[in-house]
Amino acid sequence: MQKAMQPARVRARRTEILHVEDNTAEAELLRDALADFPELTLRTLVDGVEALAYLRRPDASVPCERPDLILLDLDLPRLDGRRVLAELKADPTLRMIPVIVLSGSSLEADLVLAYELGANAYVVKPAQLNQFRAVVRAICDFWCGAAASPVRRGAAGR
Amino acid sequence: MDNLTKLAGRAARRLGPRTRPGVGAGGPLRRLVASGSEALVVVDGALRIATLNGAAERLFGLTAARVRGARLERLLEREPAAAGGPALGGAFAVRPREPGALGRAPAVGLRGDGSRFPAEIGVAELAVGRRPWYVVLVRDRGEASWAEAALRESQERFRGVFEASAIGFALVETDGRFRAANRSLCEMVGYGEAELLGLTFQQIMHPDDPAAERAPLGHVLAGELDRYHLEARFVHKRGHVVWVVLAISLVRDAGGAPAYVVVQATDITPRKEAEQALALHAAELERSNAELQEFAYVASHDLQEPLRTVASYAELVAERYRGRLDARADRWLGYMVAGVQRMRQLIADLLALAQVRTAEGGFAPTDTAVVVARTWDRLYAQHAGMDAELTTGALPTVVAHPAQLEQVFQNLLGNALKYRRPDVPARLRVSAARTVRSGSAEWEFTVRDNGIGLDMAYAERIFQIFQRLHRDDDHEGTGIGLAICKRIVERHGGRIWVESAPGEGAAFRFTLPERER
Repeated sequence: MQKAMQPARVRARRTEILHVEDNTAEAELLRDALADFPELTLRTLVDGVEALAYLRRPDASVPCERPDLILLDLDLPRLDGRRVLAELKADPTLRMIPVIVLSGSSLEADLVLAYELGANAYVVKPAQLNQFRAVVRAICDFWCGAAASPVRRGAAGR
Repeated sequence: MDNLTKLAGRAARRLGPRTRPGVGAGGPLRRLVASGSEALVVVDGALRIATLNGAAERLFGLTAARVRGARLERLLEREPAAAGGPALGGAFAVRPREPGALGRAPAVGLRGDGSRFPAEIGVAELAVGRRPWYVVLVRDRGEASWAEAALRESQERFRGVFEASAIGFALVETDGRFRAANRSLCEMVGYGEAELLGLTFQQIMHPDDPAAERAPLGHVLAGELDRYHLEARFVHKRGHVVWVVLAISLVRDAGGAPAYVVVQATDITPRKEAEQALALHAAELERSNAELQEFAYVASHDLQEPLRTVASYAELVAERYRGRLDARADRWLGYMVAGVQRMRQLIADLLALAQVRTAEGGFAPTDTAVVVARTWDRLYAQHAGMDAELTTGALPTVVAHPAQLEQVFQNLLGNALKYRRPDVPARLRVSAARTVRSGSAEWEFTVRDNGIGLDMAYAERIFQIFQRLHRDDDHEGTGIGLAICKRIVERHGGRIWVESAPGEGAAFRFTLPERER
């Protein structure tokens, strides 16, 4: 029975990036920056509550239904990005998803706290548009390409 | 017959075989005579001296033998003022109205050496035999009155101090009730003296005074401590608090038991209010520092974010729609991007200024030669191809916040390049000299250039925030750089100033105190 189920789950899957950002202008800028990555699926959610609800939806209980990478803003309505980060890293089924904090804040306190909470990287959004694009692409090249990921291994049908 | 007459009679009886036969010994009078506490002279009815006791011999400075048989005038003169008084045998102003009654009168005593003293005499007639005898008691009135006067004066002085003192005085019973209180204390707490005397000391103390402050008073009242000073609070009759310094001292009775407590209270309410205002001020300062941190966060994040959006989309539009809009639209988009960039720089500089006081990391020995070299390398790289040269003198190692010191040199050297003369190679020099100023050593650094210089009329203003002497287009910059330098140098305990003249270059100088790590 389980064997019969397994192949259905193992479908050809696109790499999914979850972007949690309440500012739609920022979200669109990121979407634009990733326009050259057709193999990526970008999902944008606007607050921490939505993000956790999405990640904990019943059919996300298997790794391949989870995003490969989370790009997290810190200042979010309803549930702050720092709280979201803490929840993610305290959840045994979600903690392995790499989380990149993408923030406008260059404050050392934010930086230190993010790493303490288990962020995989903290990136201050560059002011210049082309630098921003370069950083976003570098993140995706690395975390969705070069870096090995248990999520993607699961997707490969181990 | 009263007791004194009996005593006098006995005295007369024991005066000796020469005067009266069969005189017995003993009794109170004998003890009186023997004790020598009173000077006694015994005279007969003709006022001839029969004898004197030891006290009288000491008082008059002669022996009984020398004056026996002489008239009383040899020892005493009547005082003119007493003329109307009772007479003693016609010669003295003491006349017993009946046998045994003691009359008193002032007189003048004549000592054996001829000196005189004011005296008071008391006379008792002795009903012994047929002839009258008198016992004359003599007191040195001078001694008594001087002592009395001194006592009175001392009491009055105390009374005066007690009453007129600006310090609140109170005498407090060991059970806490007031025995007396002066006007100052009454005014301090708003009660009349009579009202206060109906209260206890504890009742005018503030109920919230910690037990530690009320307890010592209890210890003093219980006789465990003899003196105590403390700060305490009284409650004024109208309810407000009066801060006082209390000096509490215990007075013991002759047997050593606690008798009462002397309390001195000095009103220190104005001082306390000043202290509280100061504490309030400090708290406000702390709050304003916290607000500054809040501002720093807002500036770094919340203000940058919308700017980023504007700038990014302006760039995006310029990029995607270039050529599809006209040249003017392209130029306007350029203004938008430039304006936003400038705004971003302003915010970054303001943030840097706000964070000078709260910078993380401590002071450490810092080699200024290394700091200057590193700063210059970075600046030189930013101004590629510029004809500029930096020379340095011997630069010391100082105790400073390394990153902040670097920022100072960065801003000063950066300014020197920014305000260079066009078409003239920039020549910069950094030097340092150790000086001693009012007893403490300090390093004075000089950053000199050969640039356009400045009018000394602006020498103060350029260190203030947003004070710039040049239009944007000529010299980029936010006008915060020198304000940051000033704040950093002052945080290090130094001073910063400029010496210059238009067209002659400028010398920015700042000091750092030489200190142990």
